[in-house]
Amino acid sequence: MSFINTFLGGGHDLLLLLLVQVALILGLSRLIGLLFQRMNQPQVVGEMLAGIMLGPSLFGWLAPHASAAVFPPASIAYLNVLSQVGVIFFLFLVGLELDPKLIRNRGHSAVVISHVSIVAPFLAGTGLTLFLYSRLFNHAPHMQFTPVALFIGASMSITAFPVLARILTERNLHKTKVGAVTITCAAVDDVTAWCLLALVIGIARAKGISSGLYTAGWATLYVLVMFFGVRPFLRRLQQVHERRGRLNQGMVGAILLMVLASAYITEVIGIHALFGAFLLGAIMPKGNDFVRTLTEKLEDFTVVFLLPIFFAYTGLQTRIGVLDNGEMWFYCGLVILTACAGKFGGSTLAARACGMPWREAGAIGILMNTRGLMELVILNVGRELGVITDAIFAMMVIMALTTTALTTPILHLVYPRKLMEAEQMTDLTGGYKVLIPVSLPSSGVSLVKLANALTGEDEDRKIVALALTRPRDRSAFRAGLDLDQPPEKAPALQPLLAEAAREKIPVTSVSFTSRDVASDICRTARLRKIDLVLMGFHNPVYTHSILGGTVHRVLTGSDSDVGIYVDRGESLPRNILVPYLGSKHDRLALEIAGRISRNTKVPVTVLHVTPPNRNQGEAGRLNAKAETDRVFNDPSHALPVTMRTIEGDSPVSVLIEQAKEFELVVIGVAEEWGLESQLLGFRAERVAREVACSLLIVRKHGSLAAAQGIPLDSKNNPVSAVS
Amino acid sequence: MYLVMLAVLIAGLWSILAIGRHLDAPSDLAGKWQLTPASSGPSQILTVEQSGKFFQISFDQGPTLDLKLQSGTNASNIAIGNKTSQLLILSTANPSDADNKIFVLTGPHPGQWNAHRTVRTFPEDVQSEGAR
Repeated sequence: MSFINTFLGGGHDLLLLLLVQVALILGLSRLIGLLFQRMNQPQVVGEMLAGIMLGPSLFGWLAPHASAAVFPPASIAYLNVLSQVGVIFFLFLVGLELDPKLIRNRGHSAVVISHVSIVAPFLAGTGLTLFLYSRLFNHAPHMQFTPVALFIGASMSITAFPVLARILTERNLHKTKVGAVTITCAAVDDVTAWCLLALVIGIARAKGISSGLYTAGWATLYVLVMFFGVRPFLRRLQQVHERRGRLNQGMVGAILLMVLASAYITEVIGIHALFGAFLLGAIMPKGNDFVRTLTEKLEDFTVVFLLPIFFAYTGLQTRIGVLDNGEMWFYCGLVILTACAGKFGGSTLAARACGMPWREAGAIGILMNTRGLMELVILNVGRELGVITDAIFAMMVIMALTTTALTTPILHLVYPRKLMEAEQMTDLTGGYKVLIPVSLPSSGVSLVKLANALTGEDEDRKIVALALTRPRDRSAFRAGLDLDQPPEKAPALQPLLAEAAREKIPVTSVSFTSRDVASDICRTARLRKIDLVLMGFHNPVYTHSILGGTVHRVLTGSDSDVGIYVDRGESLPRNILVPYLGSKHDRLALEIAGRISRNTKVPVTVLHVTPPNRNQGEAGRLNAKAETDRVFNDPSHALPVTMRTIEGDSPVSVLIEQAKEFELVVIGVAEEWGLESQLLGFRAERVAREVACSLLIVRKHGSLAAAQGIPLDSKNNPVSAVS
Repeated sequence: MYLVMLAVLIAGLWSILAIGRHLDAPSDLAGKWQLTPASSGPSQILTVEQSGKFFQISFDQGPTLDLKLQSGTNASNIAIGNKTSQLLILSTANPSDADNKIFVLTGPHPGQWNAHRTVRTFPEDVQSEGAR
């Protein structure tokens, strides 16, 4: 108690306490959020759980004295104020994210599914209240059956649009039919659920028919004023922004004032401040930089700072301990089951009725069942209204957590990645196919030139430029805003595409959000049956290795051949050196050099280094010769290739010395060159470091172990076979 | 199809609300109660947390008990208890007075108490609560 008294003794102490609380909340929220992200769960699930952990359900249960010292009841009001402000701005952002195009341009199936996905859980929720009312609700004036039932129905109808958009983009589902239908339905559900909630709040707060009519009348007038008075004003603000080219602090201040004023008015009318904030965001003219810039300015502070406080406040109000017997847990299970049956069942059956296959229908149902923090927002409103008890609050919080956490794993089961990939599989036939993943825009130009040299004038050739963007480091936001960006607009691809247009090189652009860049590069290569993944090199962040990080993972994980281009020249090379010792990677290097030579007539020199012991060296030389003849044997025209055999103890030293005469070295990843071992971690990449010209390091696809075994395996080793 | 959906919604909702209107929830006893012994002795503060028929009652000097409604969902006389304790809540002369009751306890702090609710968990004035 003395600790609390010290903290609460004066204004400064209260400030100190608040700082400690917020620091603890933010720290734990980030930690658990990131942990959940690593477990392929939406970060928001972790943040919600962190809030519950700080409350009486865990922290208060494990260390009641410490909990009471850090979160004394007298301080909770301050956290509540911060959390309410956070939720108001969060709802404004949700409104901003709402794209009216999604609602207007709906197909038949989206219309049906979105309506059923609201009606079914709403009826299921109100129906469940028939059973729970006499068991878990009190006979209090504000807990009459009608507002309680409507509230439970509305809270079961909610879908967390932001979390949903995030899951869809992270799984690259947003461009599939499932994704398109789901995102549309979620947008419709969002609008409907908040309107429904405003209605329920109006009913719950009304003291009679006249009071209800008064609220309804003012609410209607308010909506009309917003659409026909405020929206044109917002459009003018947007035009000012377009003229100036930036969003200045004066305009941001004006928008913030409007958010607060709108929230204030709806609170006074009796339909809650959240509705006002949401509506202002929703009527904001969309599809322009104004909304994007405004969102960027507001969302970091709101989502990173204020929302975790809301989660903590919710957690402090959640007492899972009240569910202390089997009967209570049975009711909790029933709540979860009803919520899932209504939302998941309703959406799935509606999608099936619209002719979608069971798996796709199931995927839509699961996605629509995601409730996320939107459910917590609604529940806090219900608690504030006094229409739900502690037990129902705790059960619904558990339901929100469960339905959100289950989304990703069940989606994996019902709509596995393999199935999705099968749908996306393209380009099964055709000529040589090169995939160019680009992260640095500047590296794209040299890569596309090299890809052009590799593919030549073949009409069936395919060059695919891939730009992967990492998801933004936030709980859920803005995923929806970027859905419509065409791949050719990806900033990373711009120099590459400009060069391709200049040189008339046919390039297909692909761009999507990726949490795991390396595995998505490998996946894209597999789906498009790519022959060669051609990557640029840039210094990895955490290692000095040229073949570390993403490069290492693509080299070892790809089902296609991989080439890493270390570009140290301005244009295509005038001569090429291919060191050859006989591994399958060396053979690939020969083949690739042959391709370039065939298409550009650049002379190739094959370097074979033999050990000083002549007996061993002759067999290798013969093999190199045979392989060179095979690769460069073109009946139509002779390719400019020469063979150079040099004795030396160290192939690496010989290569570095010889490479001085050349502009490009195409080299296989192999133990002899000091590269393959680097894949396993330790040996220095002398060749890569010390060769002064451009370098194309190639690796034949196949497992690392197999690759290492090849030079020793007589069956697969052409050196041995020829010998 | 949309008309069918609308009809299902309206009919379903109307039916549920019509049936629900006849349901009774357990009397609301949640809040802080000032207990004055009917005979003699010190007063007690009793905090009642209630979710329907499930109660958690805490005396200011302990203990805390988990009790369940045994009889009298919304009657003037209500019994809540567990295996070892029971709290009988009786109406005063004015049965509609929800804030003044007579508590008869068995188990910890046994005896008869005049109980006055000083704080309601769910206030009666919804408008002012909502606007807080």
